Amino acid sequence: MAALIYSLCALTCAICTGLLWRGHSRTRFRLLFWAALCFAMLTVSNALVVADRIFLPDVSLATWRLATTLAALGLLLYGLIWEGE
Amino acid sequence: MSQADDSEAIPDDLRRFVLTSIPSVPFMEAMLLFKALPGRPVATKSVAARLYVGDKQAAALVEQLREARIVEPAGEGAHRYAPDATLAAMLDRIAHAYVHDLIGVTRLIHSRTERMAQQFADAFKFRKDP
Amino acid sequence: MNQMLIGAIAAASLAAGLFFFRFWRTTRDRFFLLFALSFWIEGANRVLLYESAGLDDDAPVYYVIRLLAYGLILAAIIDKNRGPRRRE
Repeated sequence: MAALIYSLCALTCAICTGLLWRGHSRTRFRLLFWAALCFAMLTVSNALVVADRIFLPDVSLATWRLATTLAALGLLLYGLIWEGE
Repeated sequence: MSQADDSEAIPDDLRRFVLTSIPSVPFMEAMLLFKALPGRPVATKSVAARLYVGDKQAAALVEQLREARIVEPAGEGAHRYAPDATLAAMLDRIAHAYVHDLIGVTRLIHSRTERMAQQFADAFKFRKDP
Repeated sequence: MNQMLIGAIAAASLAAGLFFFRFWRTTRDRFFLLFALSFWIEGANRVLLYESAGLDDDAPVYYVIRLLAYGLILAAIIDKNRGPRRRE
């Protein structure tokens, strides 16, 4: 059940990544570049939860998951603060 | 001066065009300069002189206009106003709005928050609006 | 280390949510309100649950709330693509 839900979350993030990346390649707006990167990393973060449980039961990927999520948010904030001219 | 008047005066599709396609006031001014002389070559040096900007900035503005397909090259160091029909119609409306609601339009051009919001939200539309 | 990361994530989520909240206030497009809530819920989720459930993502309460947060994003996307754009 948990794996299913986290997979759904990863899928949602992947959809956002795709839409934002498409938007960026159409318009070259920089904000979309950073936002796409953010959601790409959030996709990875959610996927790591599934991987952590199913493929690597002995090792905890918790720190990697958290670090990926933080990096994702950092990239989004960078884009929101610096771009938009 | 009523704030509400500004935001109601500008129709949604025009607002969208400004937020996605008019990056700055000098860009607008340069566009209007070319538009005033349709079909005739305008030297980049003239743009610099008429807008009171440096040659480098004028060249950058002309390049932006060229990328937006608003102008096309017309000889050495010159360009002419040459948008397609749809774009020309929109630019006509923008020019009209700029004259009649200068404050509203420039406020919109400078509005970073609205610009970012428009760009972000637009990306999530499955089908591109015309 | 993990505690620090969780704290940082909470702060960053709050900030990101604030940007979206501001977009909502400026444009009145509820798309942004949903994104703001999503980021805020996720940030709060991690902080509030760290005390009770630790880092165990198996805990149902963890992933139910995350489902809610991401559900809001899906709802925002679907809402934006259904029908004409309504400004409230």
